[in-house]
Amino acid sequence: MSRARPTYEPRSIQCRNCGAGVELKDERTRLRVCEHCHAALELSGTEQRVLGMGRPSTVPYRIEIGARLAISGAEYEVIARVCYIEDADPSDQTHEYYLYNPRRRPLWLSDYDGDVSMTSRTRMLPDVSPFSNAAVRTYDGRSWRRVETGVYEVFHVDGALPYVLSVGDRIRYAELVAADDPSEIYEAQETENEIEYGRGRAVSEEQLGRWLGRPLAVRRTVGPAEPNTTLNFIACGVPAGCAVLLYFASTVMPPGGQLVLSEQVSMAELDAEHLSAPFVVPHDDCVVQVRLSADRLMNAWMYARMALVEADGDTVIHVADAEFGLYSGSDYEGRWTEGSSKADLLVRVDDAGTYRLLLNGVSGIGEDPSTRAIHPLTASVRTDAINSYPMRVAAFLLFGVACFAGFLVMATGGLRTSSVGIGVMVLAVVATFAVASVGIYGTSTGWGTPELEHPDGISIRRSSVSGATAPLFFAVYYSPRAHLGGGVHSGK
Amino acid sequence: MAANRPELQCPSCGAPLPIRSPASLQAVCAYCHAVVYWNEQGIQDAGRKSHLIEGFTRLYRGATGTLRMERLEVLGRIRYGYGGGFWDEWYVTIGHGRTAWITEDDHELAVQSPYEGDVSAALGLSPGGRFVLDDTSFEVGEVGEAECVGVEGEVPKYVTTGERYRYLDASSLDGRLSLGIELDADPPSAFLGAWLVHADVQLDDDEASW
Repeated sequence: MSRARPTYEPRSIQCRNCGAGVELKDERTRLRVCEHCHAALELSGTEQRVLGMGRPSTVPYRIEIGARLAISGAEYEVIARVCYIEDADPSDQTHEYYLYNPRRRPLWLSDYDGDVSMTSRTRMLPDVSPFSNAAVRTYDGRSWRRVETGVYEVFHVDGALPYVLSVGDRIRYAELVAADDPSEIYEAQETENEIEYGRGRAVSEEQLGRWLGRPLAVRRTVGPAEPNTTLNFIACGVPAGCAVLLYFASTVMPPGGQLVLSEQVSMAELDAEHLSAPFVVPHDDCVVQVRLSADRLMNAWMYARMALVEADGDTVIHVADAEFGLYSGSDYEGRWTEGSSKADLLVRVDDAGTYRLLLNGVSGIGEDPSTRAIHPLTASVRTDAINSYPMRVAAFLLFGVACFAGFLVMATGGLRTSSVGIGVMVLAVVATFAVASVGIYGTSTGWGTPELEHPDGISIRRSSVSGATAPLFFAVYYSPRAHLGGGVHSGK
Repeated sequence: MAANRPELQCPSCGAPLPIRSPASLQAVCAYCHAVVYWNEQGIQDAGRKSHLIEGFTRLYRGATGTLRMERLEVLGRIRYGYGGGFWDEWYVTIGHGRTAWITEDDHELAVQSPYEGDVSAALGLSPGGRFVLDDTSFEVGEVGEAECVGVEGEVPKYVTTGERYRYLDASSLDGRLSLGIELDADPPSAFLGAWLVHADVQLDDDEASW
């Protein structure tokens, strides 16, 4: 007593990502790519998980999802398509179509550069590994000749598959043809977990057209994939953008810390040597910034010397000098200004304590030499100052990364969506993150701040003994000379 | 064709419960999906429901046709799930009431009957391991744990949704014979049979389109 066949009704689910209705033709479906939002959904029972987001296909498939093929008296529907590439070359494409019929075992239609074949799974095993160089026989006594072996990389997938496959997955394959009939195919596909064998035949374009009930579209030659704008923008733009941001931040960053001294030094005092009021460095390993600014400097230069002196006023532990100038004028392009009227000197002071500055300087107008100061100076000291030098170095390094990425983009004609293109982008982003992090961390900890030149100290009194007139420390420490002026050469 | 038992009624909904094989021990009501079984005390309601979606398989409960020229009738099925999917075990009668199981896995069919021989050579092997059974070489294809995810129609054993067992599947190297071993039984119970090609099974309502 026969019962009527239950109706075949594809199931319908809602895409977990976009909510659109998605049809499941095969109840074994494990992977479903939503045709509305291109989310890859992993199905397990009634559960759904979004594996990732795909993109609309740019692969020149010749058969569309939903196409029906009448093969040997049975009707099959294309419910999935997979595009494989080899050697990370997006132009070397193999297109595979998963053909479904609820009452027959599934078929795979393969299209490589117009060579079409149809295979299905077989349990007929080979006597040796089909990936080896040995002659292959199957246990039905047939001999097979190896045509090709290689590794496929999944480049694109859409539709519904009874297993999970992701872009980038790699599958080792071997293709063999029968020794006595080259149109008969035996193949092996090996993934990390299993090896499957298939068997089938080569199919002519005319035959495939008959199955489809229409002429087959001429295979479009696959040129190199179009450069991926997003990929190129990220690879070059991220390091370049970060370089600009870091450099800008380093220039506008406030000096930070605490102002512990601000003192006007007259021209007469600069001519001699001026010992400042005492100031306190609150802790060991403190970054100290000394700012020398000559606000009246205009079309003039100044050469200033600074010594950090322990509070007793006798022991110098650090010596530095600075040369700066500010020039301004006008030409056919308009007004211009160049240089600066101030200079910053940084030093890491080893020990907490009370210190003074010993200052001396000369200044002049234009590029004229001078042996005395004709501008006053303001000296200010900040403790726990910020040293933005590491950020500037990081900015220059990132500029180098951006240039290198740009070179790669130009050399390749633009990065494509391939393992190489994505790898370059990832490297650029990772390098940017690493360099920027190191630069910011270095700035926060004062990396690159000059150490004390004389941590053991030089006695001013002892130095002065050999000087011509006490207590001129700088006259002894530096060779006596008249500054020849023009630290910054004027003119554009 | 299987002989009809005196017609039973579903103890849950009262609907007729036709039982085709005298070897059957459990059935699922086609109307209310109640799982019922019978023993010396009579027909019992197991207090559970089991419902499997139909229409996606070549075989179906109540299908008739031929298997290699012998009359075939499909009485019921058990669906087992495993990590990567599921397969169906169809309980069938062949010829004049002989019972067998037809495995339908990814639309491939294999007919199997209990095998009483020694299968100890296969035990402990992993996928890819080979052994010889009655002068035929086999290779282990899969070892895993299956879970019953549903039953329909009549079956010759008591089975509960959710129950699990460990299994080993193997095929002969020429791909013709199929062997399934249920590892949890002591001794393990084995089923030996043959993989079928599409033309081996002809259903009365086979048609090209769907």
